[in-house]
Amino acid sequence: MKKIFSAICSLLLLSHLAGAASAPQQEFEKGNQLFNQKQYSEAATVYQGLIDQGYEQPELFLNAGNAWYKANKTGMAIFNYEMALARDPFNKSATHNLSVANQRVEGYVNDLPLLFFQRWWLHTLHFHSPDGWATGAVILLWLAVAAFVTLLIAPSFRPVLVKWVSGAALVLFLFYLSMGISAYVSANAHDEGIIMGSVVKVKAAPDDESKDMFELHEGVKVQVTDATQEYCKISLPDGKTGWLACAEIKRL
Amino acid sequence: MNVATVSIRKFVLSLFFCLGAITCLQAQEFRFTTTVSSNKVALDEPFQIQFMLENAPNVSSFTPPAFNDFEILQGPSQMQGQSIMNGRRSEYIALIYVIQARRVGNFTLPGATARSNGNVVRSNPVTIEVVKSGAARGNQNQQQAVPQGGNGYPPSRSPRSQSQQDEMEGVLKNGEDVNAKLKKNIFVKVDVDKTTLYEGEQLTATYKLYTRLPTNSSVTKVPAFKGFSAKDIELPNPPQASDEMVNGVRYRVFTIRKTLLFPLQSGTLELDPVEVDNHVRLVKMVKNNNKRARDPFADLFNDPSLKDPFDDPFFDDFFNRPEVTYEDVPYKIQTAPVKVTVKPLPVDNRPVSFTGAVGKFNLTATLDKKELTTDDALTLKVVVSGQGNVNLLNGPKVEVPAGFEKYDPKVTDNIEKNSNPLSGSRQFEYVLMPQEAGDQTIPPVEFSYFDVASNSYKTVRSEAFTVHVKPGKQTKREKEDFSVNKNTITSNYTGVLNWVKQGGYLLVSPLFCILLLLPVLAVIVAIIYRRKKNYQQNNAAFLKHRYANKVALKRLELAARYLKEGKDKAFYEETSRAVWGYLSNKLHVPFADLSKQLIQDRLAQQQVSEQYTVKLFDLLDNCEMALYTPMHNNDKMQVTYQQAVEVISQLEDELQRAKSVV
Repeated sequence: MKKIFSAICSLLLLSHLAGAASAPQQEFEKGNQLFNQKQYSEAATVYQGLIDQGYEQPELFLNAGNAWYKANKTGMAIFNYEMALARDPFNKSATHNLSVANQRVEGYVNDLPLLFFQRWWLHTLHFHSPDGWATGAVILLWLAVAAFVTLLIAPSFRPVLVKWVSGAALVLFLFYLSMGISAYVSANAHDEGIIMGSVVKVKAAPDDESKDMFELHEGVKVQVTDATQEYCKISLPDGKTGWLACAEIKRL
Repeated sequence: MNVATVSIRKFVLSLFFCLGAITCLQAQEFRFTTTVSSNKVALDEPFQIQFMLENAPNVSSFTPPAFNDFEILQGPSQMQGQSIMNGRRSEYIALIYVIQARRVGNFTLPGATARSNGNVVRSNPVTIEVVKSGAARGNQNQQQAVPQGGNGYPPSRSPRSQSQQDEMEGVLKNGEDVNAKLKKNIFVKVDVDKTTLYEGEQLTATYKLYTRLPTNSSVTKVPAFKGFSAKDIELPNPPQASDEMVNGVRYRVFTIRKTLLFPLQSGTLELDPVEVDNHVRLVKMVKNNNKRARDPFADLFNDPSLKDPFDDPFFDDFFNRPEVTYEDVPYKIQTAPVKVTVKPLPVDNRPVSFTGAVGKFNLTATLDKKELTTDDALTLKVVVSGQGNVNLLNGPKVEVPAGFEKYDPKVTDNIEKNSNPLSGSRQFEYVLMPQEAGDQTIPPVEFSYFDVASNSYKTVRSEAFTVHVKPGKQTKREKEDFSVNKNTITSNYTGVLNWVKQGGYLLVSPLFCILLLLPVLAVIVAIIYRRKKNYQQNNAAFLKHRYANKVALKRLELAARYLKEGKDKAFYEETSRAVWGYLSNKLHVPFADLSKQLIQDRLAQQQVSEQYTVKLFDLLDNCEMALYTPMHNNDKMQVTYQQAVEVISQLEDELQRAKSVV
C-alpha cells in the first residue's frame, strides 16, 4: 500500500516536472532515478532506449555506461564510455570511468597516450561539431562570395578591404570544409569495436575450422581492419591480429 | 620407530620339571633319526645336522659320523626333553652340529651310532648336495624345524607355543654371514592396491617392515610422493605387529606408513623408496671354551650352569651351552621403487562444470536468506560430500547474476579421520553482495565428478534460488559521491541536456550542396553582369558615333537627294544650311545670330578639339566657294558630302562627350 502510494507520488512529481521538461529529459531523469535506486539494469535499458531514439549526448552515453558498469556488463559499459569519448574526447568523467571499467577487462592492453600533435588535432577536430564545421564553411563561403560580388558590382567601393575580406574568408572556408569532412569521416568511422562475448576465441583465418590463436575477453577494444560476411579481422594495440565472428564485436 | 623384539621361546622348558614324570609313563617306540636343515647347501653356507634319539633307554655312548668333507663349526649342542601326547610320554635327546661343506659335490653322511641298552643303533644316512656359493641363495636353509635349546636373547616376551624358527633367527651362529642373514630376515616392502588408475583416483600405498629378528628400527627417509597428493593414515603408536607368511615363512610385520595417494598428473609415476635404519640385536655364539667334553653326554651330567644357576639371568643356559654375547648390528634397508601407471581422465563427455573431482559425491547448497537489502550480504553455502579426492576438490562454479558481486569462497574441510577410501566433505561459503534491487535468481549450482566405478562423468546440481532484493539506505553511495578515487566510477550526470537528435550530417545533406552552390551562382551572375557592363562601357563611343552619324545623315538627307540629281547649287546650299542648322540646334544659338566667330567660341567653350573646328570651317568655306563659283563637278560634290557627314558626326561625338564629362 505504501509502495503504491509512493509510486503514485513519484508519478505525480514526474508528470509535474514533465510540464517543464521535454519528453527525453523526463526519460533521462527516470533513468537517473532508477540508477539511484540501484536498479542498474533497468536504468541502463532506459538510457539505451534514449540512445536508440537517436540522442547522442556524451552525458547520456556516460550515464548509460555507468549503469551498465554497475550491472556488471563491462562490455556495454566500455562501449558507451567510448561512444561518449568519441563525441567529447576530453570528457573527464568518461575518461576516468573508462579507465575504471578497463580494470575489469581481462587482458586489457593500455592504449598508447596520444602525442602532442595528435592531441592538438583532436582538440581542433572537436572545436566544432561536424555540423558546426559545415555551417561555418557555408557562412564563410557566403561571406567570401558576398565580398567578391561586391568587388565585381561596385569596383570602386573600398576595393582593398573587400579583397582582403574575400581572400581570408575563402581560405577559412577551405579550412572549415576540410575539417568538416574530417569530422564527418571520424564520426562515421566504424573501424573500432568492443568485444561483447565473455570469452572469444580469435582464429587464424576466417573459417570455423581454423585453429584458435588466442582468446579475448569482454570489453577489449579492437581495431577492425577487414571483414567478410561473418568474420572480422581485428588487430590489437600490441600488434596481434586474427579473425573472429563479427557478431562478437560491437562497432563503435 | 621401535620394533619390539621378537621373543624367543624355549621349547624345552626345563629338564627338571620333566624328570619326575618320566618313570610313571610307559615307554614309547624307539627311533634314531638324522635330519639336516637343508639338503642343498652352498659351499660357504653353514647348516645344521641333528641326530635325535627318541625314547632310547639307557643311552651309554654316542658316536657321530665322520664329517670328512665337512667342517664342524659348532657343536655338538645337546637338547633333551620329553613330551606327553594323548597320554603317551615320549623322551628325546638331540645332538646338533653346525657344519660347513669343504667341497662342492654330493655327499652322503652315514648315520651316527649310539649304544642303547647295550645295543648299537644307527641313524639313517643323509645325502647333501653342495653347490657353489650363491647358487643356493634364496633357498630357505631352515626348512626343518630343529628344536634347539640353550639359545635365546633377553627381550623375550610372554612365551608362546609357536614354531621355533623365529627364535632361532636371533642367533648368529659361528661362521654365519651377518649380511646374508639380515638380508634374509629383514626387509621392507611397499604394497599398492592397484598399479593402473585414473588421475585423481585413490591409491593406497602401505609401507611394511618384515622382520624375523629383534630390531630397533627407525625410518630415515620418507617418500616425497612426487606427482601425488598424499594423505597419511594415522597408525597406532606404539606400532602393532601382525604375523604374515611369506614363502611359507612367518614374519612379524610392522606397518611403517599407510598413505592415500591421489595422482595429480598422468603418466608413469614412481613411488619413492622408504629407507629404514635398523639396529638388529644378534646373539652371537662363542665356542665353548670348555673343550674337555667331546661327549655331549658328559656335558649333560656336568652342567656348568648348575654351579651358579641364579647368576645367569637366562633361564635357558642350564646346560653346557656355548657362551653368548649380544651384538647390535646396524642395517640399512630400502624398498624397491614401485611404478604406477596413471591414465588421464577421458576427455569425451566431460562436463563444463568438471573441476577434477574423482570419486562419488553429493552436493547440497543453501542460501541464508531469501530477502535482503542492497546493504546486506548473502551467503551461499555449498557442501560437497562423498568419497574420493575430497582434499583436492575445487569449488563448483557458481554463476551469479550480474546484479551481485561475488567474493572468493571460504573453504572448510571436514574429512573423516583415517577413512579409507578417503571420505568427508568440503564446504564452500560464497559471500554475495547484491548491487541491484529487484527479484534475482541464482541459477542452480552444478558439480561434476568422475565416477571410476561406472567409468563416466556424473553431474549433481542444486535447485535455483530466488532472492528478493530491496534497495538499501545507500549510505555507502553518498560517500562515494564525494570521494572519487581510482577504483570507483564518477556519479551520473543529472543536469538538463539539450535534447537534439543527431540527424543526418549537414555535410552530406542536399541543403549543404545547395548552400554551397548558391554563392557560386551568385558569383556567376555577378561576373556576367560585370562583363556586360564592361562591354557596354567599352562600346559607348561607337554607339554614340553611330547616333551622330545618323543625325548627320538625317540633316543631309535633302543634300544627298540633290547630289543624286546633280543639282550642285541646291546641293551646296542645302549642305551649308544643314551644317548651320545642326550647329544652331546643338549650340542653342538662333540661326540668325550664327557666325563663324561665335561658333568657334562656343565650340572652344565646349572643349571641342581644334581640329574639328578647322574641318568644320573648311567645309563651310568649300560650300560657299562652290555656291559662288559654279563649277559642275560631281566628284567634288561627293567629297563635300562625305566631308559634311564626317564633320557633323565628329561634332556630335565631341559635343556628346563634352556633355557627359560636364
